[in-house]
Amino acid sequence: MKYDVIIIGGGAAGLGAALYSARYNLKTLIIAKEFGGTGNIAHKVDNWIGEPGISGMDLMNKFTKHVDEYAVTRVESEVSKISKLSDNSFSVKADKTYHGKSIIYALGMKHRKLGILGEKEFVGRGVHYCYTCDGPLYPNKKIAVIGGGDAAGLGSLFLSEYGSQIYTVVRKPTMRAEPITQDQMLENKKIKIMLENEAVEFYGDKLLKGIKLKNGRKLEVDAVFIEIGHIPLSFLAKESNVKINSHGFILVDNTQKTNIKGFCAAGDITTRHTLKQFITSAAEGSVAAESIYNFIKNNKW
Amino acid sequence: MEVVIYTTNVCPWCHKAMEFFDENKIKYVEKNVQKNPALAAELLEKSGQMGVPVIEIKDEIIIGFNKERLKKTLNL
Repeated sequence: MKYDVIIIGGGAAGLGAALYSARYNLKTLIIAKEFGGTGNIAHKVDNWIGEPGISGMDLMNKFTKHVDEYAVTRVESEVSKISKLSDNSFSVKADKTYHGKSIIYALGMKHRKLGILGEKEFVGRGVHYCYTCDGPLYPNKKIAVIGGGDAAGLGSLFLSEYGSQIYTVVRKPTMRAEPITQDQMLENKKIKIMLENEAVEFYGDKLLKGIKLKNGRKLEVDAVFIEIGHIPLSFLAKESNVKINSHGFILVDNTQKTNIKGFCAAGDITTRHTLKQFITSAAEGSVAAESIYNFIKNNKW
Repeated sequence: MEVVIYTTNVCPWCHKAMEFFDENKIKYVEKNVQKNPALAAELLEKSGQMGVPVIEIKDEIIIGFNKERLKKTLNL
């Protein structure tokens, strides 16, 4: 069986693409290791219009249920290879091999690690990457958040509900988090924003005891949450000769097409938007579906 | 086969894991470390770390929600 489109990735972009592909009557397969993707982790989403305060997991469950109302084949598996065949169609290797006329690549990003001394040693013993999971394990403790973007800002606010003191350690002279988040942080008496500070080492014995900073100071904390952004998971696309930029993001035009005929990309993984949000990802997914529909109908790229 | 899961209230992967158990009709005991902080020491002793979810199946300790490993351990 050959699908019209195989969507790789089950976050906002992939599920948005699946919905629109199905509505264009394309025979659609979507493959994801975990439906919802990194969107599942957000404890509170206040910028998806119409659903103020919804949790990331509830929002992604709604996306998935919406897609399930259509004749979309949904497979939970990890894709290991994409190959272009001689007839210009594609094969995708996951739990088994699937064939499709086109691809929408929406694998998103994974958490970036700091790569400093002590990080590996103290993972789970003071060094954490999921504040919604592990933040509540540190009631009335001193907690640091490393990073200056939206996730670091929202993480600091979330953790202030549990910890006695939150230090937001930001390498740059300003934060990149949404202004409304920064305002909330400034109003929060438990949060101290430490601009132009860089962590160089985590120390402790059995458990983490603190962070050594580049300026020679030590910050004594019981836990640290690392929120320094993400790395695009573009490696499978790169193997298929899809062009990516020096940061690993997939180059697309304003209709989500890549340099490879029949291969679109959508979501956090592309160069299209610097604003990496549910709404931009879902929008890119829908545009990619339209491009694939036009491609299949007219065989033009 | 007794299954124990250590959780916190809004931990997304804990909820995913419990949904997985429900879908597969696996009975489990939830130990919520947030509601009962005394369980933190037990969590650390058993798994050597403080992150959740931690899933205990017989003598096996699984840190995080690893669906493939769960399927294998539970013979699904």
